[in-house]
Amino acid sequence: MLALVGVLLRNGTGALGQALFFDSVPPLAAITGQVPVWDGIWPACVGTLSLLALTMLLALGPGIGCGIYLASYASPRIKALLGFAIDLLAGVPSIVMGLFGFTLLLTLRHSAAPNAGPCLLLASCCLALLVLPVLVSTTRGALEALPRQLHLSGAALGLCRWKTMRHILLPAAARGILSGVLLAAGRAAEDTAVIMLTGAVANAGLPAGLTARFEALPFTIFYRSSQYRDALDLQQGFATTLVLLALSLALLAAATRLQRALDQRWQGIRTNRPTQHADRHA
Amino acid sequence: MPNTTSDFNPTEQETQPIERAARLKHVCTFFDGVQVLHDISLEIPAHGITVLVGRSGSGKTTLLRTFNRLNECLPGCRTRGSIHVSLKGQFMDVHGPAFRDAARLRIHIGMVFQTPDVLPVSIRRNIELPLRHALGLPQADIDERLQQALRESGLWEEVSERLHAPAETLSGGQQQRLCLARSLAMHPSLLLLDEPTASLDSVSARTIEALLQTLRRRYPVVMVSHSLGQALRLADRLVLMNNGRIQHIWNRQDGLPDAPTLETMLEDDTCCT
Repeated sequence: MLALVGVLLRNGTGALGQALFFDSVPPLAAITGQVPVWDGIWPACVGTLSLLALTMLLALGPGIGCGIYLASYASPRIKALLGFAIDLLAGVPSIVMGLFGFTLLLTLRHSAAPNAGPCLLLASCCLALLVLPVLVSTTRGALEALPRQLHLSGAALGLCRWKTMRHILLPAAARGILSGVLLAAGRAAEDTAVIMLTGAVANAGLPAGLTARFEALPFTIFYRSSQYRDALDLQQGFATTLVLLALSLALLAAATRLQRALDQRWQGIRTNRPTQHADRHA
Repeated sequence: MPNTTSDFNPTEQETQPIERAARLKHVCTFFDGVQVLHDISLEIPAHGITVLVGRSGSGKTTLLRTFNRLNECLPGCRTRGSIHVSLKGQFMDVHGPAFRDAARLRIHIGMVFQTPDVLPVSIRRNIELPLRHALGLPQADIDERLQQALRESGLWEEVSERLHAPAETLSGGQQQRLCLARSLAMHPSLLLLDEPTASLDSVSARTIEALLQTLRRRYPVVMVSHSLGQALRLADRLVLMNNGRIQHIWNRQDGLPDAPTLETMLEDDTCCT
């Protein structure tokens, strides 16, 4: 990891700067979208964040829901069948998922949506399918790893099955589930094969909507490192990689903070020692 | 919404004055087709402690869990027979329509397990959680019940200054008393204790025993114990079990057996078959 970061820093630090993001466009005008940026990576940053947000929006509910179902509600037969399907899906290479998206698009063009084209929504749907098994498996694993006694405690306290899940099991398994969410987000942020077949392009400006093409950091890195014209282009490719790495680290930091906040809220634990009076009236 | 007596179906009630906390008639329990309890009929008095003793695997815990239908949370369980529990002055069939959701029954029946099962949250939240989410009580009532339950379990003086500390930082004995307080805060109609001192040292065990001596006046208690000494000290009614059957029942007013006799009966297979 150190060697990898070392190589990236050595080759990319020189290109880090305002010009990498906005080229010669004033930052405020670029950020607000008043002036389009054609040679900087700002549109790719926004594109990646939009793609990530939309992908997680589509995948979180079904992924975590399916994990909960498999861990606590499914019959052994359904568990085996659905578990097998999820394992199969987990084994699908991302380029195959990209081809699936592309084929889906062609089918749509010949049937229900003749004007459909590669876009942010299609790429997000395909990425959501790609990361779904990670979410399902980690949620299921985190819930199944909890002691059996927690289920019994919740039931003995008079909580129904869903309330035991909602108020005891899910918070207790939150750390494991969140690690799955992070893994899935990381996978969605870095994947190139899916988006290059379903909507990402080298130059599109800021994402114009769900049905518009978009730029994304992994595709920009791929494009610049494979099509570079001079040393500066290659250096900018390395710098873009550093930006993507920083974005992933920022996500990790935000998730850790969120985890701590949720833990604290659920556990009701305070590090300071409140007075007896405060306790009574908290 | 808290479950109130008004939710109960009158057809399930018995009108005669109730002197008992619970009654089991011809109860059989099976796990994956294997019979664990055989035709159990037992009455639990409305006051005092009923102690279940017997060898490991004799069905004590399974019997205890029939009162709050907790066996149903374990895979492959099936129970047959009639189980009635006195709840807020009415004698209710625990398998009746009022308890289609067993959670509605369990809010009336407190349970403490062999190993302290504190939730991995603060001391305060351990008691708050079922009061808020199972009974749906407002914060003012929760605060009142919390303090009252901690006082009843003799824990208030020890934890009142650190209610927001993790419950896992308490000693084993304190954790078990917290579990007891959590049950008491629900104002149970029946208290089930599954070897509550089994995982504690002798001093903590004595503290819990002393606590039970005071609680016996207010709550009907059904308790499983592996300690014959403890059983003889606490029992108002002693039930000897073997191979999923009730072997013998003694009442304190009629005289309990002495420890050697009880031990001999436990060791003697022929007496129990």
